[in-house]
Amino acid sequence: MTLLHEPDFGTPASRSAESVEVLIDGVAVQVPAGTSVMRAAAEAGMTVPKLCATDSLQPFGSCRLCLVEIDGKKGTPASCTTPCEPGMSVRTQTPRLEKLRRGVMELYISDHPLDCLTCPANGDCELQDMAGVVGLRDVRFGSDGANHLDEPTDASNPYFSFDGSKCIVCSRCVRACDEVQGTLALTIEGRGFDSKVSPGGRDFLSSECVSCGACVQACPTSTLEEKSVIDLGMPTRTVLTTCAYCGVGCSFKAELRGDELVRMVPEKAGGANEGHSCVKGRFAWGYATHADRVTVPMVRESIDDPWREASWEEALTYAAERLRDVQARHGVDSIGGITSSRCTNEEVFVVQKMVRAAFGTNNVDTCARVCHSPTGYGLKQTFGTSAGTQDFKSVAESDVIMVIGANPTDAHPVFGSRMKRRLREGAHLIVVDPRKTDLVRSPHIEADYHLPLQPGTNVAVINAMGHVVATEGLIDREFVSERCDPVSFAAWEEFIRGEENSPEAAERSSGVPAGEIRAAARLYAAGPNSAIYYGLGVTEHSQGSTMVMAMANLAMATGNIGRDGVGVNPLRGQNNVQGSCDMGSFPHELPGYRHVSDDVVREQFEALWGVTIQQEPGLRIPNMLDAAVTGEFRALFIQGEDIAQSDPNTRHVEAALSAMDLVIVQDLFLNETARFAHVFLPGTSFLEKDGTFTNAERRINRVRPVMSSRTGKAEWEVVCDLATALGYPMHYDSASQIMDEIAELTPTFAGVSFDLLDQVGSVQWPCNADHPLGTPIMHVDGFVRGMGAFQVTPFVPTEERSTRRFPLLLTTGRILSQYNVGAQTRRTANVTWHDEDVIDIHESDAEMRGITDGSWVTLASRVGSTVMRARITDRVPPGVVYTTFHYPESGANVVTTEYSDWATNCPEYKVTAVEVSPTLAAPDWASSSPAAVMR
Amino acid sequence: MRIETLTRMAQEIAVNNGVFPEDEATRRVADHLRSFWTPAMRRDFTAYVTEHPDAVDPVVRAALES
Amino acid sequence: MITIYVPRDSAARSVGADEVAHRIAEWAVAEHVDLELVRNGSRGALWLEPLVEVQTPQGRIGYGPVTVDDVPGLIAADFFNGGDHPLRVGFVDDLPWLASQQRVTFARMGLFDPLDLESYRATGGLRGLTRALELGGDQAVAEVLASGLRGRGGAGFPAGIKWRTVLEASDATKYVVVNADEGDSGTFADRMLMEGDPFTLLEGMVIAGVTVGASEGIVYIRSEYPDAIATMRTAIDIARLDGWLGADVLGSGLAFDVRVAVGAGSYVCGEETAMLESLEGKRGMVRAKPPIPALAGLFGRPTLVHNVLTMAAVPGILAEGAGHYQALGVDRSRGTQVFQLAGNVAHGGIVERGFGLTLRELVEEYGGGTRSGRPVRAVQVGGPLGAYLPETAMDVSLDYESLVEVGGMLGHGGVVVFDDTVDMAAQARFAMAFCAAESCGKCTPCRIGSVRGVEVIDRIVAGVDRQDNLELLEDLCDTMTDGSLCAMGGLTPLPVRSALNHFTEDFHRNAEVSS
Repeated sequence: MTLLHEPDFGTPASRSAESVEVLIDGVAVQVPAGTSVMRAAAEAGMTVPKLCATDSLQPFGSCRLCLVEIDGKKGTPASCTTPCEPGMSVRTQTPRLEKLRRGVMELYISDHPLDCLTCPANGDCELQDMAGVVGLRDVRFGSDGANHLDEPTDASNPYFSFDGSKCIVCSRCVRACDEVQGTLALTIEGRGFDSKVSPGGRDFLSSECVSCGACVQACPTSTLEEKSVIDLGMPTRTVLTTCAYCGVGCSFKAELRGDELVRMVPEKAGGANEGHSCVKGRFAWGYATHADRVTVPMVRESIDDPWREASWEEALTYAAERLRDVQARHGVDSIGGITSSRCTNEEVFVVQKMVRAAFGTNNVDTCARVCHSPTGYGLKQTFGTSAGTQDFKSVAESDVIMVIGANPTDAHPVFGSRMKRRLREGAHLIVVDPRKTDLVRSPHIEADYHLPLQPGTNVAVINAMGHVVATEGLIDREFVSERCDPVSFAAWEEFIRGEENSPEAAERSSGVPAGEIRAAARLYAAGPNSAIYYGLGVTEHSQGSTMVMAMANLAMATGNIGRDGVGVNPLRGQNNVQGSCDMGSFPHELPGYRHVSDDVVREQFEALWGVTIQQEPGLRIPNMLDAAVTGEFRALFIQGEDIAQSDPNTRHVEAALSAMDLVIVQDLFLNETARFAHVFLPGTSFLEKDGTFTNAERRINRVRPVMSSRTGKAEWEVVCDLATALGYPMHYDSASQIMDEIAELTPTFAGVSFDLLDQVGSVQWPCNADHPLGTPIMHVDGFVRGMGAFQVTPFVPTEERSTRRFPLLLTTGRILSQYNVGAQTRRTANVTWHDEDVIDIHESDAEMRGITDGSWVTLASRVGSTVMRARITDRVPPGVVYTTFHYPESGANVVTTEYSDWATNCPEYKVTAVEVSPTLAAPDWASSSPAAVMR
Repeated sequence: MRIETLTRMAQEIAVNNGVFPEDEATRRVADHLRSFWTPAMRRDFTAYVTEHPDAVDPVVRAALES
Repeated sequence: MITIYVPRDSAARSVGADEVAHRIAEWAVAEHVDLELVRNGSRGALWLEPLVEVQTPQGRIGYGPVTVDDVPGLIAADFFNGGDHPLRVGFVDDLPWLASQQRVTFARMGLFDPLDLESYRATGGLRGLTRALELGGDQAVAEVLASGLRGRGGAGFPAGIKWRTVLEASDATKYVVVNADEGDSGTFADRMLMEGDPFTLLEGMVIAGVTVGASEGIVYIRSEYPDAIATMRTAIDIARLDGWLGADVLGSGLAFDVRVAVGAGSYVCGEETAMLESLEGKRGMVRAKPPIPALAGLFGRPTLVHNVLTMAAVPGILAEGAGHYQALGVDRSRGTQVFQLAGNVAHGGIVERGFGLTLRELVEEYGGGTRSGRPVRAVQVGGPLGAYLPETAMDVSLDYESLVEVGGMLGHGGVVVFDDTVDMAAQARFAMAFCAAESCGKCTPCRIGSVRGVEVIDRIVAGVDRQDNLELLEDLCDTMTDGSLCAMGGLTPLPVRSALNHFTEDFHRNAEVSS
């Protein structure tokens, strides 16, 4: 399509149910009460000139272009700040107003460079547009007056620049930073004519700015402009697509000039993000065309040989022959595949189909195994479906927000901003996290309770909250009796009232004062709308599944399920974790979370696919690796996942990979895992894909090709070709056809088609005959499984304990500018903010070990050791250390262990007993700058 | 797979169902093994437990026998 | 025992009151004189400051202006018994300047130590609060409404309506905020009242709080008023100890407490919404209205905002009844106005009178004409944003509506006098320059317009394309008047235009040149 200009109604929509009628220029207009005169006029097609107003921000009333006349009101009020009142008669165009607007515009232009023709924003500048709209013909103030034409440009940020000479001081950037992003990094410095936008008196890069791009988006002129626009020129066409980083799944307008991507702009109509973005999705897409991309297939006999380029046909035939050879020698179940949560639903679907139908085994798993598999297990046991209960929008109705083991401002920043907006409005906050995350205390945000528990004691704390609810009469008896299974509730109530679940008992194991747990539980129970949001700090534990069920119990016991503002919500790590799970990537489940032993379901697949599907579960990733070490499992197809860097106990993973006869890697880059591969099949970036991603709120978003495939093939096509080479012909004309097959086979997707998505933008599953436009909130009238099932959730401590040799507990996480193993973000300018992983350690732990800030330390666990730099901080409590895993060099997973969730084998990344000790020697990798990797 | 891995996994499943009466715990463990373990894993582990009945929790043994 | 009064008001201190008091005290110690030295508030006769008063059986006799060097002479003249001296002004209460005033809000000013709660009570203090508590919210609001009291900060909005709005707002948290960011040139009544009679202001706030249902009050005082800040803070402590401020106001079970917040040097923070922003810890920028502060003010809560003079009028209204206050004044301007006379005037100071006296009476009779002795050429009423009125307009009645009729405004009651040496083009330029210096920078007409205004006036005065630039100045004044977000930019054209209209000749002194 041509460049998409989304309409701007000037002020946000009113959510009032009441309606008022006003006359605008004689035309009767009906709007919800509280709607501004400006918005009412815009909705009626009578646009009032404006500069400081934009519908993502609260009205400000500073530019004075939108002045109108209202019968019976003196003066010329600003239409943006004047709400419609019943019967109001407004005139938007009168000679007085025209003269006034020209007068205001004359002032603006008297302090603005007259270089429109050479300005990067030429044609996309609201000041330019408005000068035309108000009919400015002359600036009579002359050119020798005071001005800001010599204001310097701040180009410190790698992605955008701030040209002070073009600033009209409308404060849209400042307000966007405050209201939309919630970082409050920008302010206006000075006053009167000296007023200037300032990132806190520093330059943008060294300020608190998080580069979310909201200010650039909000700027009506060329003051804040993407450097790519300055370099490449204004884009001319738009492709709507979906970000491929985290599970928020932001909708973007990819804006191109010819075939060249110029910028990614968040889409206001995007259901997940509603026009907001973060530094990754907005700016860090340059990896797609990075020189490290491998775009031709490669093969080799042994992993000691060099890679050899091959044709698609040669590579696929080679792969197929070797797969069949392994099966011939070691049995049908000696091979398997891993699907990627970074790929589209369609790409994932064909991989699991290839494994089940062409490989003839259920040995398929997905990287969700190592992140949210306990979510799938726990929510299915309690509610009946393996997904979060709410849409993101729901948080705006929450009164109490409990964040457990999640750091949304870094890891899910766009949702984090939504949450912060609600918190600034006065919602209460409980943070359960060993670390003092930004949410605990940051500008205008402060947790009512921060429960800094010892890593590994989530279940003790949440059970104790359940205990308080049960023993203090805080159970929502009406909800429980109407909606939940009475037998399971009775068992839970008896269990949870036990002394072993008291806050005092939890204090002994978790270190959180009992009084704090009690107070937090009371706050949560008081609601009235209390919501739980959680992340990998819940799931990546040996009791991950127990914890998910314990949270679900608490939500059911207090009636916090089934409406806006409540729920139990996983913050999914990857863009398509939800989707890859939905698509049948688990070894025991066919698409739609139906067990392989279910004859009726299996027969349906068998009929359509024309094969017999095994009725027994296959191997999970850790099982595959373990079986590889013992020689039973010998070949693996890996779609877009770098298990050598991301999976725990690197030494063990490498041993498993080395032991296999055949490893096939489908990826953008020669990643760590590719060191052990025999076949490399080049993959496509999200900018080349056609398909869908499903985000953490079950929202199915379209991913549309922005550029042609750099490899000449779609990824699903490559998989189909491999299946065909294996003797199982798989063919689709398009990704859309794959979705049609998914819809045919999966009841929760029955209504989904590319046509529908293209029409309505996105839908949240279940989407079927009962819910043709999807389901934003789940379990509204009843649980998916019928009655909510309480689960007894005993706290079983992990066997990973701190010891005399390894006295500290290591927990891991990620930061804003980098993404997981960093394969993408390390190949962008995001390295500006984070160019190496460091280990966070508390001052007291550092001091007793003689560790100074920034010095090299050895981080060792019983399985391995690595060297990185120490950072002394009070973000971690004494006894706990923390690091990220964005750089392969730092090897965080060299030290993590094989312990895992009892129910799903999700690795226990969040608890590793370690010791940190000073070292003099810098590691080898430290001599080569990460910036060099970026090229 | 390594027997020690299978043993650890089975023991963890048993411990986390330890709060239930023996019958119920046995049923749950058996259910879990059926739902999430491959036939080969169950086969190898059963063989091992038959030879080393004391290596695992009685509930695990009962679950394998059920 | 001898009782001598030396004002502690900062205007008096700025001309040596402390040194005078010290010298008198030294003398008393040296001579073993049994002296009670009272540091009272100022009577408001600033040309007489330091005005030293001596208690005699017949009344208080004043001497002024007294310098420290005058003290030995006064002692020699037996001034503590009312002895004759060139500085002796006679019985202060009988000075025609004071006797003819109608002091209601300033009734206690200068009578005693401003922090002497006993004297405050003895002169009717806390009667208003007691009565307000008896009446209850509805009736107390009715009383304020009936008094006809209007906002003395400049806008003139009926106080009672504001009280009713806040009373009826359903929020559990409400605030009472007093705006003491007195920044108008030539005004000083707020400061004098806070320094000279803080209990009256506090009592007004407590009445307001218990009436509208607020439990927290804040006095926002500009940082340039350190004495007022200190006095208010001490007064708050005293009132708390005395039980009419705090958790249980006079045993009523109602809670109301007050704190002082200090401004940071911004004129615009005298605008109520900018002040609220500042109180919230934000940059002092004007908010767009609606919502009005009475419904969504400080931290979004219903907030009763009044100027010091408005709030200080409240105890009297409640104590004496609305009728007593309402009887003063004319037309829709009821009660008294505390005028502040300044500039080139012989007798600068405070004149409190019912509305309706003429500007001429004020300037010539109370002010005694110019200090320079030259003819009055212009009078600016209502602060730096008020109009310059020519001598011919001086018969205007001083009330809200009459001033508007002659193109002026009452503002905060500041009156600045100029003699015939004034350059009115320079004054017009000053108005724009003041706006440029004090603009918060939020809205365009004020932020850029004021700077352009200075430039255009400079060109007019220099004779550059004079006619075109006069036209441009007119257009700019229209843009600022109609387009500005608040009164800062909106009223700046008032002094500019009045100078242009009434004193055109000052803009045409230089020969015309072409650019």
